[in-house]
Amino acid sequence: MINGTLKRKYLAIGLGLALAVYPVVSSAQRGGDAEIEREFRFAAALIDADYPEYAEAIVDALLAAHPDVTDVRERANVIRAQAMVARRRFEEAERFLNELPPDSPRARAIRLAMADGYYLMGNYEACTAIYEDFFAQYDEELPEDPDLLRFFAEAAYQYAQMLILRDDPVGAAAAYAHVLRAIDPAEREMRRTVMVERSELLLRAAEDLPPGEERQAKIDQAIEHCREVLWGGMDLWFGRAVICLAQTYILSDDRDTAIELLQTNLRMLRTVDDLMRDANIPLTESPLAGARSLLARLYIEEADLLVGERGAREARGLGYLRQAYDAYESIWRMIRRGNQRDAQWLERNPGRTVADLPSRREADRSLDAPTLEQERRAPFTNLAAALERFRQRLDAVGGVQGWSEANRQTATDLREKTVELIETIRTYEGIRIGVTPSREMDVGERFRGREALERAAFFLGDEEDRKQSAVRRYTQALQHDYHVFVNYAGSPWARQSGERVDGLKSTLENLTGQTVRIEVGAESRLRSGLAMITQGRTAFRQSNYAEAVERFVDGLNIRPTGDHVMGVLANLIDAYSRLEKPLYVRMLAEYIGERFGDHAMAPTTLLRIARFYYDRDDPDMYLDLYERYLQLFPNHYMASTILFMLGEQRWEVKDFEHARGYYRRVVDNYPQSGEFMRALNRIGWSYYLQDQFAEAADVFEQVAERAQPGMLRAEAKLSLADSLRQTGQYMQAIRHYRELSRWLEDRGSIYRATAAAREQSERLLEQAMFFQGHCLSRVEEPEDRIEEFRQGAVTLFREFVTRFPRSELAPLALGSTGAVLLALEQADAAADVYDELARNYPESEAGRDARFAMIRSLLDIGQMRRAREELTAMIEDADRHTASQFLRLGRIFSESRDHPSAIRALDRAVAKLSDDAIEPDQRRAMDQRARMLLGQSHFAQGNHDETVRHVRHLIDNYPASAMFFEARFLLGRAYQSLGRIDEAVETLRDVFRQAQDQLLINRATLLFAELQAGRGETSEALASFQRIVLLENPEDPEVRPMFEQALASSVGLFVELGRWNDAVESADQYLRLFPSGADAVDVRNWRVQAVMQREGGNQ
Amino acid sequence: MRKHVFQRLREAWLTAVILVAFGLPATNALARHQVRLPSGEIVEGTAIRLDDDGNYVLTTPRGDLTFPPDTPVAVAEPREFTRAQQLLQQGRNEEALRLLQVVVENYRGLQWDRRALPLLADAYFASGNLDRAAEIYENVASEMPEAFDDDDRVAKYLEALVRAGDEAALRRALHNTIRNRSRGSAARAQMMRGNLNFERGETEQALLDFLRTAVFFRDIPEFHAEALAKTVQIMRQSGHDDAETFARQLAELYPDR
Repeated sequence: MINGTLKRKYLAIGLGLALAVYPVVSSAQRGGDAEIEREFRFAAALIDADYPEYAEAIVDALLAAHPDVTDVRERANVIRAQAMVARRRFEEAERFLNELPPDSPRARAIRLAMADGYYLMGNYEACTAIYEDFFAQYDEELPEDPDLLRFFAEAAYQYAQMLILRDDPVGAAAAYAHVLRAIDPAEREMRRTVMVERSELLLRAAEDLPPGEERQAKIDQAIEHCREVLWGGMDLWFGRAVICLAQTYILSDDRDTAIELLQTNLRMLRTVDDLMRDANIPLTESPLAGARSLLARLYIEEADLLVGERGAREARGLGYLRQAYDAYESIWRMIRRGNQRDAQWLERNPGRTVADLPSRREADRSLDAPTLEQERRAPFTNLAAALERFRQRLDAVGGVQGWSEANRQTATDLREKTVELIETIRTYEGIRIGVTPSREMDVGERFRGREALERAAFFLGDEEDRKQSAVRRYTQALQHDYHVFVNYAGSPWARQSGERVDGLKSTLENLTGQTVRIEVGAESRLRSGLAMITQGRTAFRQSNYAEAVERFVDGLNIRPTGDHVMGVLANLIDAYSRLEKPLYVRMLAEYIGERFGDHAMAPTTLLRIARFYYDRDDPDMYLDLYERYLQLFPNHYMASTILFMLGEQRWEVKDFEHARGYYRRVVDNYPQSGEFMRALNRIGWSYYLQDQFAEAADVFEQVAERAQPGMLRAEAKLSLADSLRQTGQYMQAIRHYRELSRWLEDRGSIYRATAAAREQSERLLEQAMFFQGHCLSRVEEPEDRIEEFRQGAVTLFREFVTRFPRSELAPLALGSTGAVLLALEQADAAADVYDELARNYPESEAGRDARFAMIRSLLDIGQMRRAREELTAMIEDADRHTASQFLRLGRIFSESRDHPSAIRALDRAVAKLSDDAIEPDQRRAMDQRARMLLGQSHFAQGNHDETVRHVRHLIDNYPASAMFFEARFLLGRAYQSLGRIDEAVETLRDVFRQAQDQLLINRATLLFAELQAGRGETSEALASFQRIVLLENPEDPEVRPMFEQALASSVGLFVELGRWNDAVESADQYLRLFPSGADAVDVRNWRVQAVMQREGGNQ
Repeated sequence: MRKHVFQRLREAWLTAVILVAFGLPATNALARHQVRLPSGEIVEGTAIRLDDDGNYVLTTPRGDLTFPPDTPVAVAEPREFTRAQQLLQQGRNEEALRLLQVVVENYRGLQWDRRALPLLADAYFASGNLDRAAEIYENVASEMPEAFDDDDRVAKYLEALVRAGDEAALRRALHNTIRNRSRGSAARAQMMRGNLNFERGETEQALLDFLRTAVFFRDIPEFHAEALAKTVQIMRQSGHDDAETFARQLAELYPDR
């Protein structure tokens, strides 16, 4: 009883500590700040390793140990908030954040981390709210603190990246504006970087807008940024600015300028490209890729126009003709202005001739008058002649059939204007004095509109010419695009270019009727491998995992080695996992671990993927993956943590055997790790909780010896002493209790260094003292010293009560004192003690009934004979005792497995129920309890008929009893033992009819299956056992024992039925789940039998 | 034990001396063995050996001279070694074997014994003494793993281990080959391990190796075709959805199979 009660109490304290708090508390306390620091670092590492739940347990324990230390609380809240963020429990994270000072930089950082978490969960609104709130704080004025300013800029940049991923260029550009605000102007290169990136975003935003002010404003801002960047020097950013600028022209529908800009700068961009190659800068960033891709796009547009629908093409051609006309008209205005200027001068200078004009050329002086006149009239006549040819061309254009009405009207208007201009020139009076010719008036080789005329011819030429032009353009585009696709894999342009390559090839083949072959050299093939990988990455980012897998695998087969491989494999394994391809995940995990084991990413990739399955609660996969990790990377820094975590995971479901396996591996393989002592302690507890006290003692002894002075050590010492006590090694237990007491009472030790440490020490001391007394009271040898020991026990119990008068153990200590005094034949002294007990602890069970307390104490200290004598005395003097007292005595004798005494007490209780004046309800309740206990004790004694009698009485008289189910289970067992199987089955039917709780149903199913097996209904029994095996979860600690029994029984029945494969399979399952289970030996034997039969061809 | 460690250290040091300290391109450029004295003077000899205390004993026209262990020494390529290489190329394995044994014996601790080991293993392999070949290859694997940069030698090594029947050693060698050697050797080792597991009835584990080779080793057709075929076989047996995809790949890439 005392063992039962105190073990429960001890477990409540000890187990609680062991499960979550104790190791941390103790280690934190023993070394003071350094240990606290270590615990925090460990917790932070656990969050980094993606085990926030364990990090939480660590800080919870720290907090429990240091409830009053502000710094610990604040830091714990930071860790807790981080853990909550990591677990996506943002509301709770918010709660912890609110406990931090509002201006705490950590709080700000975590809040933004929370926003990132919201983002990952797709809660963009919440994410945006946090970021915007953060930026709003600095709307007026940026932070002065340089660290904070940098944090602000980094947050803005991070936010911009999120918005880019969300395809929100407007928002991202706004976030970049924050970045620009925060960057010191002296950080010129950084500013240029941000400006270029912002320009790109602004242009992406402008693309989606209709023409108008808003669109133009964005284009203008981009141009402004680009110009500033272009002034900064010829580098990467220069190149990207050129591309942006070209895009602004495209957006302004000025493609020719865009083409010209790009073509003009190609050479310079090639230089940048070469410099990047020389400096080993990844070419994915090269602006040459952008320029070539953009040129290809523009060429394709142009070629499409050339062979496309005629309306658009002719409109474009007419546009160029209009440009040409504008150039002619501009020359005409220049000629006229010059002529008027000369005329005015001659008018102001009578008698002077054109040879005297200030605008004259030197060469004009040597000309004779007729020649000079001819020279001066030439611009007029040349222009008129050119316009005449232009008119004829327009006539030719106008003669083509099938023009659209709008284009025809444009052409007609242009012709009319041309005719009008020709007429104006011919009839112009000023022609007589002419004009001093200049280069700008040339309508020949140097004519400004000449290019427009050529472009017009390009678009308005005959079909064959246009087709040839289109082929040339497509070919140029294909060259550019293929080059970009192959050589700049990974650049944002490669994908667009790559996507166009196939289309361009087939377009050219259609136009020329010939097969287009791109000769791929070895180098190009290698590059194409990278290009495929890039496409895979793009598909992966778009969650198109099937496509990503295909591309990655193709790419890796071309580029199987190199720095890129590990990153690709990491993405590939993620893609396989998301495609629900566990076989491939396993295959790849092994491939990564084995072939790329030297890469730093390899172990973390395996851990990440294992965690993926852990979060999905897929133990087959995560255990397999963690084991592969542990096998391939035994020296990785996380290995011991993973093993410990796996142990904890089994511990949580009370699967102590497997948990111990993991802890043992920590202890054996990682003696220097931070988990070593925790694991060793857990091993001790695992034995203790399975009542394997000798093994527990061995382990606790190691902990007590190896741990640093501190609570862990003290706790281990107490556990060691307790384990020894449980095995009956009282003297050894006492030695350890005493040693522990000395540690805890040493005023100079760390056990008394702080208030919290003192409080915990007192709690341990309380147990150490009590159990010292208890052990002394139970020592039976040497016989000649028994009395001395008992006196010692009395002294210790006395001291205990004095020192811990409020302890829950104090009444027990007094009761035990009385019992020991009785054993010492000091009846009077014992009586005094029981009086004291009743007086000082009236509310305790012992205080309410001193006689009862005495017998209980006698049982506790193993004085069975004395206890029975006291019971006999009570029965003989039954009139002075109540039914309730006998009932309670029956219970404690039953608990002490003294069933004959229990039956005597309970028979007396039942007899007195009718005698005593008891309330009817109370009588009914007591009768039920008594009958149940009588049934149990008779069952234990093998008196099954008596069990049936008492339990039937209970069932028949109390149909709605709270013990409805327990009574039926007991009755069923009794019938089973009596061979009255039908009655047992009938009894169980009541359970099946009434039970709602699955556990009860499982329990009944198990018993039912046993009954079926007993009746020879093997198949039916097997079906019942399998019902539990197939439907229940062995991870549920309450179900686990039933599952184990059902599985073991199934193996036996499978063998009985000759179902060898099923037997082997079930045996394997049993041995995997319960390697040291109670039936493990039988199951192994059955398995061997089944394997032999199977291989003998019997199934 | 101490002597063994000392010998290993000296061998490492000797290599450095031979290739670097003397500034010579390779030892076979030496006509005679050389010892450099603290004064910088070079003493040449026709033979060199180690005595029981680890001192160098150089045979010179003046007689045998003894130098302490830390003396810089350059050991010329033994004629037996050169000849053995030629004989191996000619397929005269037994003769090569005898010469290489002489090198190992006479140049113990002088670096050439180590260099002779892989050739000695090759010679045993070629002469059909696979047990002895396996034993020496194992030694080579721990002493000079770079000798396995040669795919052919890896193949011989693994084959010898298979024939020697030491499964633990074979599995260890397969793992090390997969981890450290060329893709060709890795593919070979993966297939061997897959076959080993398959024969043991561990089809799921076997499939992991076959599948790995089928998915990632297209550039090694020698094993890729077999990997595809075996992947298809196991996947069909287990009713895996991808069996036919791999079957199509097999038919397209290796229509003659």
